Amino acid sequence: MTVPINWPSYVDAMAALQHLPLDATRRAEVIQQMAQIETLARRFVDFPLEAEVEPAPVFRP
Amino acid sequence: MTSLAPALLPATAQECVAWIKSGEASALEITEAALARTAAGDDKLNSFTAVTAERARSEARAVDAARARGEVLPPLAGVPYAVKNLFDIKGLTTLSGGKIRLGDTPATADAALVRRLNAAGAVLTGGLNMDAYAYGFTTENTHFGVTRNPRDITRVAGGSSGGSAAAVAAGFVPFTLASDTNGSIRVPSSFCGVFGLKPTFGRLTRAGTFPFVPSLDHLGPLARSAYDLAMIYDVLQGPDAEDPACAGRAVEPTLPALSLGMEGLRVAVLGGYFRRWAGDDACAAVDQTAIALGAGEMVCLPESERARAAAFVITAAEAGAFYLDELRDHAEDFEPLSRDRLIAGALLPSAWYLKAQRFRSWYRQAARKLFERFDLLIAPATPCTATPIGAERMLLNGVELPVRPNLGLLTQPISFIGLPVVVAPLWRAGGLPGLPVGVQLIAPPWREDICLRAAWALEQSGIASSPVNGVFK
Repeated sequence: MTVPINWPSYVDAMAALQHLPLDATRRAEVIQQMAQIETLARRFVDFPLEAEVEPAPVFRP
Repeated sequence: MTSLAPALLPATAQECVAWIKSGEASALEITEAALARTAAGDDKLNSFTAVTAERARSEARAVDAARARGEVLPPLAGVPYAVKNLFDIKGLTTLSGGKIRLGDTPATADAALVRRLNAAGAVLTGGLNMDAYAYGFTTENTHFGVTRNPRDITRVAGGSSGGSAAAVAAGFVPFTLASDTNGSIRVPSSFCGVFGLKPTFGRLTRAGTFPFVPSLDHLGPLARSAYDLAMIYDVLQGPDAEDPACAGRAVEPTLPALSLGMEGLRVAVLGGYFRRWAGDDACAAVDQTAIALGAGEMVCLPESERARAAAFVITAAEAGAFYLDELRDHAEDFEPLSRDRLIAGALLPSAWYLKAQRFRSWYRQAARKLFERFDLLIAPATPCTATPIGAERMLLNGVELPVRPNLGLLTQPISFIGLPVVVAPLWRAGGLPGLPVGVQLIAPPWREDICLRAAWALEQSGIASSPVNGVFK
């Protein structure tokens, strides 16, 4: 997470993978959003968690 | 507004029930008053997106007929209400605030909670405006229009359930239903000065409502008193196999114990993050509440900043993935204020999403430790009073922030772990004239009774109240 991310390349690759067409204006806005979300994600993605800390799914077969 | 007749409303649900029971007013008279108030006043607010007048009259007549036959009336007989437009209403298209839903087939049945209210005798008067997809905190809906705040119509009502809060604050109906994923009941309750209950995650069935973020979506009522909230909530409870997240708990009535107030409850104020991101008005409201409820300590719920960030990522990822197909096909029809966040959400790395979900378990454990020592935690509901319509930036304790994504700063960590909360509205003497700000009364999981007792106690002490005032009086 400490290496600067090339968000334009990431957005282009992921949008292509998801078959999501983005015009130039929208592409720029999504790149900006990705950078903002990354700032937030930085706050917890490196937080150490013990292996037994699992998500709490609610799916009940 | 002075021309309204009959002047039965504004009234609380409790008053309506009493009038109908005693024969002082019929359900149809009260319903006509609600419809008349809405017709006369909603052009100023834009809280309703649909009015179901004929259905309401039909339901009211059924109540009056039951009374005439001498039947025992159900608990909410003849009380008008309305629902956020993500609830299915039979015969109407469920909009979930989105222009993209306009072509959908109308609902063939009511949402489960609407059915429960109908069985309890309540009278549905319509559907209410909201942020598109429930993704927002201001109800500035580009397609359906902004919902204005009845306390000051130059300001937002809060969101995403802005219509639900505004309609109650203006006295159009005694109560409404809404959803809360990150603060969508609590932020508008704070801004519009009404009482709002976000129950424990999994308590109330979501069957028949349009989803936003299934991991975090809650439903609950808004009203003008703690008594009304308890009376309505007791009718809404109960298991439902149709919602996989519904925990299936039996009904645990809260109304009988409401008047216990604060008896035996250990109370603390949440400091740290919840103080850092609260402005002067919000801090003053919390301090006033702390004195009234006997809070002896300020405590820290650790890592709340991370919790808020994780809630943000889960929201973007689940909502983005949900709307991906429609974003591919017609992104241009999406709400401009949230479209790019939805697209970005659909592109997020799965590892971030899953770490956020695991962190949710960690943070839940931290809260459990606090609840070993305390029964009730107090925090501000919003950082500030209602912001002006169209505001882009706000200054909060010396930090400039974008308004729209940050009004839920203080609610997001709490809904992240599904704790029950009642927002009680306070009227700050030193704040902007006439503007309320809410406090969150937060209890351990499944203890909605504690939140409601605390709200009732605040109301009895004269500190929290939800009058209908100004031009809507």
